[in-house]
Amino acid sequence: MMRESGFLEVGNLKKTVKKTSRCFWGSWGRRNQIIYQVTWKHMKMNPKRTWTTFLGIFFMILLMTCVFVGRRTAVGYLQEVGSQRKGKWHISMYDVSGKELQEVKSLAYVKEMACSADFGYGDFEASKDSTQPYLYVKAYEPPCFDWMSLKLKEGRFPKNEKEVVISQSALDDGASIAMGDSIKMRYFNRSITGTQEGVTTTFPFQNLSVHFGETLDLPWSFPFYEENESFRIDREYTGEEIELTVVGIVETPWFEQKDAAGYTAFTRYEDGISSTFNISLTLDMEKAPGNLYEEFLKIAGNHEMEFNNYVLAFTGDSSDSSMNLIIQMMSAFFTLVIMAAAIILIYNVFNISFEERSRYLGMLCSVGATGKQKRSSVYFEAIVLFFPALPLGFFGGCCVVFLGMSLFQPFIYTIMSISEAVLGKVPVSIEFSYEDIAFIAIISALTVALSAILPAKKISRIGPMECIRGNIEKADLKKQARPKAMQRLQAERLLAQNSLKYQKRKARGMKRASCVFMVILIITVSGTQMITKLVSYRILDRGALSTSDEDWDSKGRVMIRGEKNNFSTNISIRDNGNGIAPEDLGHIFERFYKGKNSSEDSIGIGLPLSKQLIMLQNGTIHAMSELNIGTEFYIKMYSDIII
Amino acid sequence: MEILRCENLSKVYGEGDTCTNALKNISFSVEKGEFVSIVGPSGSGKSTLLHILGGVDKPTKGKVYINGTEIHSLKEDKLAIFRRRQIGLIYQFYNLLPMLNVDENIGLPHLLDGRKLDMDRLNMIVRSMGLEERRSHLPSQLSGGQQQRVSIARALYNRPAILLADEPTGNLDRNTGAEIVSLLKESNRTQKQTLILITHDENIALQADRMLCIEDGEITRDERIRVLGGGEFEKNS
Ligand SMILES: Nc1ncnc2c1ncn2[C@@H]1O[C@H](COP(=O)(O)OP(=O)(O)OP(=O)(O)O)[C@@H](O)[C@H]1O
Ligand SMILES: [Mg+2]
Repeated sequence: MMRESGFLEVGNLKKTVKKTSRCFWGSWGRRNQIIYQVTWKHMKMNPKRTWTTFLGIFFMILLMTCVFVGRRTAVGYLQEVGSQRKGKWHISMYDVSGKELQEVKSLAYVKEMACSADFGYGDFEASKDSTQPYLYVKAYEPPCFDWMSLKLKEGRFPKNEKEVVISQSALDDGASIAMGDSIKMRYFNRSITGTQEGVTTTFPFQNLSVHFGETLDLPWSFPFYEENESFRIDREYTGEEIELTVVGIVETPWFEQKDAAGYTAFTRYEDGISSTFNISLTLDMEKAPGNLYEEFLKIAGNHEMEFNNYVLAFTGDSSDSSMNLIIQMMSAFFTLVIMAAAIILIYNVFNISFEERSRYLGMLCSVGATGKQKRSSVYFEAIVLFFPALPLGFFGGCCVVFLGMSLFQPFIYTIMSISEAVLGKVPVSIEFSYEDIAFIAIISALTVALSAILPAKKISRIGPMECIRGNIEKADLKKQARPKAMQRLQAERLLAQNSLKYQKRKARGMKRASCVFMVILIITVSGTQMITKLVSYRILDRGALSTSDEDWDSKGRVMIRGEKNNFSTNISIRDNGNGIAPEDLGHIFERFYKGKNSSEDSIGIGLPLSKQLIMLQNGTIHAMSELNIGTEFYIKMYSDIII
Repeated sequence: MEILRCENLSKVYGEGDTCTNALKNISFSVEKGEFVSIVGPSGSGKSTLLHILGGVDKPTKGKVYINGTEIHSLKEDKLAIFRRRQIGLIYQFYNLLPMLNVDENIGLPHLLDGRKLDMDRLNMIVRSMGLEERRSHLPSQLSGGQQQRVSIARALYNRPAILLADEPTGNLDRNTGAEIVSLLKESNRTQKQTLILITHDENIALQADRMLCIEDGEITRDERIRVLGGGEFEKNS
């Protein structure tokens, strides 16, 4: 029986050997096959160490994934949230002509473009709200519906300029209109004229004042006013009467304003409908130049133009955004930290096992293993552990990012001042590109290779004599202090010392490894805080803050005043410092701009960053200054309510 | 025909006060097919000499030629390949890989060379070593004598030109020891394999063609016991 089982084993061995000989890596692989076998068995015999190494590689990949996938997911998420606010377009230009359209079209980095036009007001007889007696009709090319985040409630989007979809808000207010109804209307624009002598009427929320005798065009969001003494509102018809058919109802658009004079309606924009129109476009951010803003300002000339900063701030490499610079620097920094930490960790783990390894490798060497074969043992171990760790670490990293984003979500409410109702609609979705995966794989493979090379080099120096006489152990034993209680039996004592030494070394290695991870965590957490602090320090060290007029004459005073109304919060910050030279005043919000009067340590990032942050929260900031008297900043935060 | 020659071999372990002169200026040569036994008291430098002859240890001074190749001037990898093809070393402390079973341990030098195992040869050797029932056992599951036999089988498998054995019978009972030695002798005779064997057993030492006595790192006696190919010399001390 025994004999038979013996033969069976030989049969198995024969099989493996045969398989081996057909290996795709040829004779070199066959030569190493036995090394791999031995290494694999060695790994199985030392499960704890193998798992430690595996976890080291796993966590390294996990952290890398957190950096890259986390970055893309966060940016994608913020972009999505941002687009919920204003839509997915990047830049809009208003009242452009065909010539300018061609000019924009020829830009290489414009990805998509769509035209739209404002047709103007029309009487809406079905309205039940006396302050909203009109429809304001916009004409869109198909992409605009998506870009402006319009969602159909029923019906379909218009296919020609005779079809319209109407905002749900009209129905909410009780308007008697339904799909299939037709509306007769004649488009008009509105203007305002001051009619009372000596009186200037101011509309603070529309940023508009009208003097006596003056006539101004009204923006589309201007409210409806009854006839009165101070001013008169006139219509100017732009075309003949037409008949529109209602083909759908859309959810109330985010940009519709409750106090505007009319409900919003949309028809289809077709070429040549009007001589001036608006264009919205999305950019290919990879190709977009750094001076994007200036370039567009040049084309637009004196036309009105809008940058969708909610989306642009988080897109690609638009170098205009300080946010992006910070994001990029942070991910580069974290990658380096993680790589360094992982190298220390994995190198240590490979090194801990040096003694055990040198035993079997010395034995292999004594029966004729070459240096290359010894090294390939370490590489084999690294590769065998790396390949399962890669997908697992990646998956784990994605899980961490998802969890982190879900936890982070509430803070976005405050950062972007977006209502929870909108945020709830944007689910966190993990985003990554194939380049990200490739990058993570390459970087982590490099890290593992780097941390395996040194131990491998060291190991290939192990000669056969190291194990023939068991020298490695002998040398180490001498250094070990002897625990007294264990001196009874010689053999027992030796065994105990051996395992004690092993335990100690292992504990040391583990301690080192956990230290490394603590460092990573601390750096990651404090990194974000650091940046926040940096910004606030720059604000604080400008001088003592004050909220009253006292001591205004002594230098280094700052006064803050605030007022709040239903539509905005206005803050002014005034100092009595050196002031800003008039030629600098126009540039202070540009990144890295240093004016004449700026202090030595100024790097020119505080104000641009402030502006970015204020703009992200739908606010404006501008400055007035007089040399040697002081500077005053005006910040206006609109409390626009969406939904 | 000369197969092995060493010139002025010295080996110094350690430095300064604690240094040991394990070998002192040793020179001799061995003919192809010769059976040489090496005897000497413990610590006299026998194992050291054997390791240097086998290329696993480096001499402090001196040269070793095997088949005309100065082995210690070879690069490390070349030497490793040379060793696994030309030299069979039987170690005093076996040197078996704990994670490989008997069969795998025996075939190891061959497998390291990237060659297929010859199953007939393996079966024959395993049978002649009396290890048939232990083929799939790990070294930790074997007795000292069985481990010794595995390491002998490993050295024999490759049909090396030179077989260097460091006390191959040290852990075996008298009968098994005698059997093993006759096996080595058989291999030595039929394959014209050169055999250099360290032993403390005078009976075994006297079965050789030639006996070297080493004391304190020096060759004190070099006796020819038999003429190569049979016939017996009278001892002349
Ligand atoms: N790595 C080493 N470091 C220092 N001294 C060594 C080392 N290896 C051997 N020696 C010393 O060299 C001398 C010769 O050792 P060697 O092992 O060759 O003796 P041996 O003749 O084989 O003894 P035994 O019959 O007991 O096996 C001894 O004195 C030994 O202490
Ligand atoms: Mg010895």
